[in-house]
Amino acid sequence: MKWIRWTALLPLAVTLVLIALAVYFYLDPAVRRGVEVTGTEAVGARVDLASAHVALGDGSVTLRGLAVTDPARPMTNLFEVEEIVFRAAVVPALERKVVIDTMAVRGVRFGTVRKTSGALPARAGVAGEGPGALRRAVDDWRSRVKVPPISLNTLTQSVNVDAISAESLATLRAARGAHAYADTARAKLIADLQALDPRGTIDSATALATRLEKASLRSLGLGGVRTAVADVRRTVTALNELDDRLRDFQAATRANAAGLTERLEAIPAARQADYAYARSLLRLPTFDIPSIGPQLFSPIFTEKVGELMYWARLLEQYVPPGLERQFRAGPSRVRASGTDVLFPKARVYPDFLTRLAELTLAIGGEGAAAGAYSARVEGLTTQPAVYGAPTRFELTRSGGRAGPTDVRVSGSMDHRRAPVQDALQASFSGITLPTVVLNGVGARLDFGTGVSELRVARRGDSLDGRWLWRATRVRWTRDTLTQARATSPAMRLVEDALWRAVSRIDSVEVEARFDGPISGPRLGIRTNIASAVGNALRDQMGDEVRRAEQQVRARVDALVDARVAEARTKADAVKADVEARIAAERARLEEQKVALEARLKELVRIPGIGSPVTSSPAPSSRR
Amino acid sequence: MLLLKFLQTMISALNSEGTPGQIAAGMALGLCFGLTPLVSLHNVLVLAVAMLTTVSFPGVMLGWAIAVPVGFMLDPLFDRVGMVLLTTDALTPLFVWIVNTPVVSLSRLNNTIVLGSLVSWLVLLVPSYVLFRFLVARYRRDLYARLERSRAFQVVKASKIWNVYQLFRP
Repeated sequence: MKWIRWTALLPLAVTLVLIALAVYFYLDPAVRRGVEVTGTEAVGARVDLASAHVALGDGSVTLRGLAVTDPARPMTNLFEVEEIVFRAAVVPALERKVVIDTMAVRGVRFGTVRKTSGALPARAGVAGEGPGALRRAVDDWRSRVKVPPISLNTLTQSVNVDAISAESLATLRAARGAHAYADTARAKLIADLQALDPRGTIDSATALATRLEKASLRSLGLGGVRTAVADVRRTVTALNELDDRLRDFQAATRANAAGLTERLEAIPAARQADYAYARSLLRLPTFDIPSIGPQLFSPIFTEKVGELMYWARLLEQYVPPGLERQFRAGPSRVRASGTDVLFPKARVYPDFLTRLAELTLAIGGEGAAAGAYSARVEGLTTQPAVYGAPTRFELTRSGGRAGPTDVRVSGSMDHRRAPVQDALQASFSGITLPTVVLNGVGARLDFGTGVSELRVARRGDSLDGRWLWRATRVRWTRDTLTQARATSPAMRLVEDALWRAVSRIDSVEVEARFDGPISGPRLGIRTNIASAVGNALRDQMGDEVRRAEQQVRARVDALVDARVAEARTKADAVKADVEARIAAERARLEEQKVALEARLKELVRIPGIGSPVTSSPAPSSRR
Repeated sequence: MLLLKFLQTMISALNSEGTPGQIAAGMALGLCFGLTPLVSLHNVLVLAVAMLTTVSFPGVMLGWAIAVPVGFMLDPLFDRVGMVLLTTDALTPLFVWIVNTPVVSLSRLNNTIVLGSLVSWLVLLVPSYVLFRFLVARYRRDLYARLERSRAFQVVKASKIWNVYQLFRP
């Protein structure tokens, strides 16, 4: 039987040609869809591309109408690009890798408005992974660090200290903890003392002493006396050993009591924390200048620092360090997507690489960022360990009538190995800074043009950054839209004083510093407005706030004092009880030892029994 | 309509002049198109084998038609099989070679579904061939004579698609 169907060669060739033609004609839509799907997956919001064209002849790819949604604001584009043209190397393409030698970008615009929302529909994903999970983590951080604005309203009402719940106070928890620890410690110490079993040894010593009390050579005989002397010596040795153990036990008991003391000593600190907590419940205005900055500007800076955290962590997910296996969602298709497992290898092409991109950007209009820019990106890759060099980028303003006078952005991204190291420095001069509503102060601050400087450094899981805004000709307007004026005349006086204090300030500087773990950095905000606000508040409201604080402290004390006293009494009782038990046992032991040693002296005086035995050595020499 | 085409394919395959072995081989090959993602490089190779060898081409179509729903159903299993293979350290050098070699990399064998389904098909290839050959032989011996007399069978056989499939008869 023949196995080969030679007549099918022609149909096979035709079929293969048809497949090749289908691939050719489908290539453009496939690239467009690939950019959209991959971009959407990476950014966590919709990425749209109007068209893509691949010219197989010269290996060039043209992308037109790229719009990347801002994941934080789905009706706004992070940026739009009119046209991107790049030339991709052919050999890497046969390995399903994109290696771009040169790239030209035209018509970049930032923050454009979208016609439709770019938010992704909620979908069930793997918990803790992907842009959605990162967004939730960042939102969670924002809600934790956001400081409520200054509130004057609480002072217009009587201070409601009943709102302070006993169960929420740390002092009570600390007192209960100390009480419970005392109970546990007492039970354990008594059990340990019983395990030591001093009674057995002492009782047998007592019995021996009683037996020998009236014994003599006549009643015992020479042999009996020798045996009695040996028994006494053995018992005295046992008593000495027991005494050592009791002494050790007493030392250990005191160490345990130190744990109890620590818990008692923690109570005052807990009480201070409770005062602060109770005060925060009443939202009393603070005069403390360092804490006023966050109250004024935390909403705006938590938003901005949150975005930095989001992008830094997203970057780590999509540009992981090292040559370990990497897992990515598979291609979107009718069948399940599965997972693409990547096997990075040094000295080959990475999956994606732009060796050098020199961009000339023209941002039109009269907006904050209008002007001409030139940018340069070197070694942009998804597998830095394969490429073997860090990514570097820089952007400078090269001209333009509107917009900032000077822009310098530079940075690097080194993900070749853990820990990853990212750095970003950005400096904008003559940029239009935002207008900020200072809630609580009843003022709207228009920074006008000024300087914005950002410096961020990331090393592994640690983030360190500083963001500075400085403007020398700010404008103040009274804000009666977002904050209704106080109803009471007293509070109106306070509001007026605050307004007078801030509206005199011409030059404003706000500096946000953030450092700590990238999943939840600490945020501190310093501003020269804070001292004006703090002083005005102190002048106007110092007495009222102090009175309210006293009421708060009194309420906390009333809620916790009884439990704290109970815990202290309990702790003292436990210490005294255990010490007394040990002292009693040691006293009984000492009494029997003295009696036995006295009897021993008498027995050894009998001729033929032996030389007198000295008393038991001192504890230090026994050891 | 789809059901009718499926019936025509089945009848065409089972009653062609090919031996049960040729039909079973065609069906076993055709399973690949249904079990693995269709747009894959390995399917071009399987198509070439199906066309160039004297296996029953209607058998290939029948195997494909049978395997499509099975493929969708078994995707979670293929995903697991693929993941196990792709995370086996001993196989890492092989996959490093696959993903870094021109053209071979286009096979997407580093995708869990592609790899898992392809390996599953390769494992099933010989058993499915044996099973199909047995079933075709039993059909021809026991069922065909009774079915040939039925009206439905005559309707299907009379349609134009029947003639098209005759062109691919071994």
